[in-house]
Amino acid sequence: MNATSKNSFTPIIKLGITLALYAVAACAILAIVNYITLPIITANKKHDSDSAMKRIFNTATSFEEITDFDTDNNSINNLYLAKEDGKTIGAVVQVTGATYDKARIILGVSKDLTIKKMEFLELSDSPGFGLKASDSQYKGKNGKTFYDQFTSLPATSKLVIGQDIDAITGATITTQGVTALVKKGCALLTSILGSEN
Amino acid sequence: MSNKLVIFTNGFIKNNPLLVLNIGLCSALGVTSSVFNGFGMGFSMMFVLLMSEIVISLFRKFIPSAVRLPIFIIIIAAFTTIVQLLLQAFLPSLFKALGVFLPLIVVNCIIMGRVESFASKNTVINSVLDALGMGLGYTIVLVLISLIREVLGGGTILSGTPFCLTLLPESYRIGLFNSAPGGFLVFGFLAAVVQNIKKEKDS
Amino acid sequence: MLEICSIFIKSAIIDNVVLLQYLAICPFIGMTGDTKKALGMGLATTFVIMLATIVTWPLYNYVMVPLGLEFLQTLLFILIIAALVQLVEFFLKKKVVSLYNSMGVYLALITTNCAVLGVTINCISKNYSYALSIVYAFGTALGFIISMVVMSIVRSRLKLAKVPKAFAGTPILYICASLLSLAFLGFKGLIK
Repeated sequence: MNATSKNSFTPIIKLGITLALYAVAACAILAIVNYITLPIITANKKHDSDSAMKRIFNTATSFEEITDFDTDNNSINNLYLAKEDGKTIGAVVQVTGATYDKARIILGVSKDLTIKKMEFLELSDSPGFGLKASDSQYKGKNGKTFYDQFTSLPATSKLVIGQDIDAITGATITTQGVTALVKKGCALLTSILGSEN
Repeated sequence: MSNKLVIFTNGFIKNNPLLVLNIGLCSALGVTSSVFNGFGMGFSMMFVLLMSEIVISLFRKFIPSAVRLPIFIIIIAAFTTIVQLLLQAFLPSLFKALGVFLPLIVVNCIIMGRVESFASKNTVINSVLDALGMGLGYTIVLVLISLIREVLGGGTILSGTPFCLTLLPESYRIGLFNSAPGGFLVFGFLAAVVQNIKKEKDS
Repeated sequence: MLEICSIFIKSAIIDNVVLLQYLAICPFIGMTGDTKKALGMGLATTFVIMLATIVTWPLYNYVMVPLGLEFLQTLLFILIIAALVQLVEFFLKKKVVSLYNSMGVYLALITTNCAVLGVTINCISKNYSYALSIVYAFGTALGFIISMVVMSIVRSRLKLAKVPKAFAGTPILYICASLLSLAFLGFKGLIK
């Protein structure tokens, strides 16, 4: 009895060990490749957000990161104070969230609590519809691109679509989604800059 | 020698994976709205196919038949992940453009199919030829589809690269080709053309 | 509540997985010859998609991220899906033999169904919560069933139609898919 059950077990164990060996080898190789590429990928991301921050606050001489802030999930990150010669001139943050698909924006608010600028870092909505929001060639009714509409609006503004913000025809959801992201960022930056005083 | 040539050209028209065997279709329609993406996807898939066929052909005597499918999956997934990481580090624009279709290379029926039916039973050199042939057949179709879709739909060629040229002014562009129905349409016509070529060759 | 409804409708109809996201085309072309088979395939795939999302979401968010193992996402997800399909095959062989026999090799091919892996990856990349992921998975699976059944009905009509000789066989199916996709594009304005 014992001999037969042992016989039916050993091939399964052998198969299991072979499978495990292949799996371990694959994971090891992947870990090596990941180890090599991870610094490059992180450096790429940092370079992208650093240059984006400089585009928003082009007179800033340094950026100070703030890491302890209240956030519900990881949709808000890269919160920095923009400083010119040691004095805070504003704050900048990245907000990620759902639009028609999803978007990642970088938003800057000046010390006087007006929106400095908003830019798209990523937008994966439909080309010809929602993607127009990040298109520098698309000019809305007031002659501005979609993202330039937010410049100089008060950061405490309700950002009502139709009044403060012109929607993109055929891309209402994108408009609503992006405006919600800007509102979220503004709320956080206003409270940060308020407590800076 | 001619046997090797047969293996190599097998994937071009006679057994073109996309237009004749009708496998691996998802990526053919999903990333072909621009030529750069089509090229990128074609080469990524070819890399995974080539490396997977090489490894599986090398180890074909050490892969027990009962667990061969999980082992194939592990090997193909490993190379897919390697391509993902390399692209994310060195060609981030292509990485973002390919989106979810890049990790989906692992479930590309072409790779699974060739590995199971060819690489596990043939020598390494033959497997290399098979992989290159199938990969090129796949890439050529992808580039053809994206050429038509990008030129007629977007009016540009090679957008996303520094060599971008605008060929059609805005009013002559047919938006249909950029979107999903256009992809199916172009594919259907290409499939019909190849089917006709095959019929004439056979008759 | 509103978000759940809109994600459900979005994933099932507005962003239909086959006709507008280009996923799961292989079974769409290969298994829609018979409406019953198409429905069976759709239901089996739904089961796998739901199970896969339920298992992979917590695995990624509670195990892989804290351990810094995100790069193993592709490998682990597809292995889990393969294991789940094996389980489903085993279950069907024992309990619903007729369905198992009629599906044949296509049951194992659910593993390579782009939609299954696609849904699990999308849930992670779109940062959905667990509940939203399950809704998204269910919506996508429903959209898959809808497109499979509609295509099989179209194909049954196609048998009686005069198809140009050049397109006979598979090419005409792509033209049909193109028209179906065009029709579904009309839903884009459904959720304003």
